Amino acid sequence: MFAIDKNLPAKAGGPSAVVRIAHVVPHSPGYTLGPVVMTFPALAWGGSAPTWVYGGGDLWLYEWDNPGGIDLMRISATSGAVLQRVRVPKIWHPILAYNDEGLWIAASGQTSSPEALYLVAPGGTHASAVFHFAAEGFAKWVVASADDVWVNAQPRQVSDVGVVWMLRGPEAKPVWHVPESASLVQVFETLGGSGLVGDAADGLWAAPPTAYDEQQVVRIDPMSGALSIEAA
Amino acid sequence: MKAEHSGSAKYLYLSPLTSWTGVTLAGSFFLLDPPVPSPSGAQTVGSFSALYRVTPSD
Repeated sequence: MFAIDKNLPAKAGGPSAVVRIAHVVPHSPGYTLGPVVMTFPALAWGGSAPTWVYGGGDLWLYEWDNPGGIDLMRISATSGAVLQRVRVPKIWHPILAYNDEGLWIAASGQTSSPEALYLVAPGGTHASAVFHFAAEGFAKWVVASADDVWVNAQPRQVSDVGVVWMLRGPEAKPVWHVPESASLVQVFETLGGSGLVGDAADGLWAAPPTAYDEQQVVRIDPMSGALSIEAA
Repeated sequence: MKAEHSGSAKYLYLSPLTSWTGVTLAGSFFLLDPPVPSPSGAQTVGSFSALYRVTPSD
């Protein structure tokens, strides 16, 4: 586990926050905090906050506005040791996903970031741009499993219709792509970039609200992209 | 599925139902909906309102 401390003085002024790894210990209070491994501005308007995902037995932690350098950290989920720091392009509001090919990272909103889906292979030392979003686009959501990745690509003009892609392998070769449906637009608008769960065996699922107190369950066929409403 | 409270449908992202938790297993989707907000503001951390299992229709 890790902890984020806030309201510490920043070198350049204003509040900052730090990330420290927590280690479980048998005595009170049950944990100790290790050294600071990451520092970032804690200004709410900056949209800055670490993003993380577990994968391959490790915690992957990314912070785009890290004053110490833009980096992606791989931290052992068992020992808490920082195993690796990888420099990746500066990606505003990133989405992270992990599968057998490694860590996938893409921007999740209109941004000046490079418009690509990047892959950091297991043991790799750099991020490779393996899929480029059309029309200066970005990812609405990314789901990864085994050697497959599903990504909802949105052109920069949010009035344009997005496209859902299934990609396979380390080179992210397209398997199929379909225009996003109105139900999927609803998923992103209400749930953001982490709104879908699933894999190739079970399908991709989400439960977006359709009213304040009502929701529907939608499923995307992982092999065709066909969307169905399974419950409401 | 319908939760046990009502409110404005204008701002869906404010719905407590945005904070569901879900996993897939053996072809099904298991959905854990968040607790219903308490009028008294009582602590609801760690609780939930409903657990659903949804199987594909085809």
